[in-house]
Amino acid sequence: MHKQQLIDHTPALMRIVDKYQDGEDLCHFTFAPFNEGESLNKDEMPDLCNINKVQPGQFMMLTIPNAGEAAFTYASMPDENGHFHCLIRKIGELTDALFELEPGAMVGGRGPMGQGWPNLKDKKVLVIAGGCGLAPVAAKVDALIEASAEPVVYFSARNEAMLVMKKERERWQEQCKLYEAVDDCSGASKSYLAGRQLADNLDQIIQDDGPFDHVITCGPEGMMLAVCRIMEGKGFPADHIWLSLERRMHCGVGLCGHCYMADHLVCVDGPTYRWDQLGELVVKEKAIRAPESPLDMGHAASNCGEEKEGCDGNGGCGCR
Amino acid sequence: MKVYKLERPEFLRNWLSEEREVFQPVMDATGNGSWQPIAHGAVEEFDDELRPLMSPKDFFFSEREDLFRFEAGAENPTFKPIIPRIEKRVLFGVKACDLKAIAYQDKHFATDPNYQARRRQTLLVGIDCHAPCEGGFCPTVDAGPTVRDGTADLVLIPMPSVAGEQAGWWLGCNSQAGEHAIWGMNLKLAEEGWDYWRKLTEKRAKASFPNDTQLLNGIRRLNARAIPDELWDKLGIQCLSCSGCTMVCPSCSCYAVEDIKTPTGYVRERFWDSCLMEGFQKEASGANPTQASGKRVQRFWFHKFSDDIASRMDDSYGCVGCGRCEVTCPGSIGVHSVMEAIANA
Repeated sequence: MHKQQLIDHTPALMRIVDKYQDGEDLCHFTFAPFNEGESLNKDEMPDLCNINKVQPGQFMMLTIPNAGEAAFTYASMPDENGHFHCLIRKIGELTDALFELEPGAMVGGRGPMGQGWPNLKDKKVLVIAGGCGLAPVAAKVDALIEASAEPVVYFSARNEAMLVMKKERERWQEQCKLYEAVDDCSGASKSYLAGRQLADNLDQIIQDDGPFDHVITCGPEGMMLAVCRIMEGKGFPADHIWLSLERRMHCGVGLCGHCYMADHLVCVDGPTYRWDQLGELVVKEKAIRAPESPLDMGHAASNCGEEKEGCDGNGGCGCR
Repeated sequence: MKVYKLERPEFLRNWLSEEREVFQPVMDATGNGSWQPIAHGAVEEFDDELRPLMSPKDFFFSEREDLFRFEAGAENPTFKPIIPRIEKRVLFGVKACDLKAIAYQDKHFATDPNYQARRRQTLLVGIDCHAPCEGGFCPTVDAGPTVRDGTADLVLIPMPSVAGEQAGWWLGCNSQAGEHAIWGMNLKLAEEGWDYWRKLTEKRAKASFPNDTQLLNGIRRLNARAIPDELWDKLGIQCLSCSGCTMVCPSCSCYAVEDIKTPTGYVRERFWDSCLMEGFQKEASGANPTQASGKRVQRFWFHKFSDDIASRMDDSYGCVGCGRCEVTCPGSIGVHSVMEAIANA
């Protein structure tokens, strides 16, 4: 029998300490350990709130009493007091219930889970995010800024109202180079890059701020795919492009099976992937070559002899 | 493996039941057989051929169970784990295929507290098969017909039958727990030749299995990704998404969770789920990577026969060759028909 350390399916108690609207149907939540300030010492800090245990790009499972549990990414690393942020979109029963809750309300959490972004602290990194995909990269942007790696951020959204994480972006305007784009510029309060012209925009950014060592991207899968293809087309190596996947998850610890992708479980093997690794997974799920001739065990009547001319192994020659 | 002589399996069963709850396959009113407790001193005969329709996976990975309890209360809300408290017990007469599946689940659920709480209290008494069962193909996936090393604490090994008469049994002892369990039974050690005869029994059993060329071809083609999407789509149409195969499959392990209200809070319950259900991967946004039924059927068989997954699971396939999926499928896409279709795609 395999004796390994057992995991715990039970959430830790947390509290919502802050909440504000941050985009259309989106709220920015701050969570903290439930008993903070009372008797909580460093040893009692739940892992998911522990500054030393969380990496940018990881996620946690958030429990809303009587509404269930779902995976959310860390939009910021926990601070010394265990406070961290999540950007959450109102999109289903669980988030409906969460949006009803006010600061002070109790919730549960498990984590941190999954593989975070690679370190890249001495690298020149281009971060490309779309819509809510800014949340999983935001903590990484902060970490790179802190490490004086001078990241360049390109952020694109459907329209101005969907430009999330306003506070963070205002801060980044001062701390690093930030490009903003929207698909639909009508009625916008200022001028943005044209979101639909992703390839041209990236060309310009690489010309002005490049070259880059690595690219980190997160957003809708179609957008990430486009980013990867554009960058690869420019000769950028696939193993220097990183992205993050979203899948339905019930456990977060590689047991429930929901988040599969080929032989991987996104909750433990991901959610961050290198583009070449992901390409491999995509291929693993697909038919990639024409059928070979069947195995001949010498006793199978259904098998044709290979000597018969014109036999394609598909039964067309009438040998079966 | 230390091997003893044993006159009748029932003697061992009765010995073990003195301090443990013993379960064995019993033919029941459904005609399928099921795992039933056998009381100490019971004279119930042990049927060495019977293999219940349901594998014993539910003994460890419960079909439905609570994971934790939440007690509300403005001042002191609490989450409390619910770990099952299990008395010592024995699964008596588990076939090689089901044992291989338990070993597979042991690896998958190695860190799961609820699974391990049950597993660590359970002694496994395996039994060698000396002939193929209907629809079974354990040799093709290296799961039987004799019990694989390290998958059971004790193994019942039939002595070769002479002129059709059962000559008796050997009892193989594979683990310290097994050794402890039979301590005091005063069994005599077997003569040296047992190993030769056991291997011969296995060879004879293997030779009686039907032709498995289609299965081998199917596995090879599946791993070569040589199967066109159209075939999966066709099989997808034939799949009724009833989840029967995943329920009876001894190595399927997917689950979902749901919160159930109690008077003072709620409990989180987990229950078996099936990757063949349409909503299995559906996200809150409505996005569903496996909306197409063919994709889900493909996933199921990929999980069973993929070399990539096997390489993460001590080189074991997720299929142990028990053939139960074939018995339960209300359509026509049990393992043999699917693998035949794949082999000839």
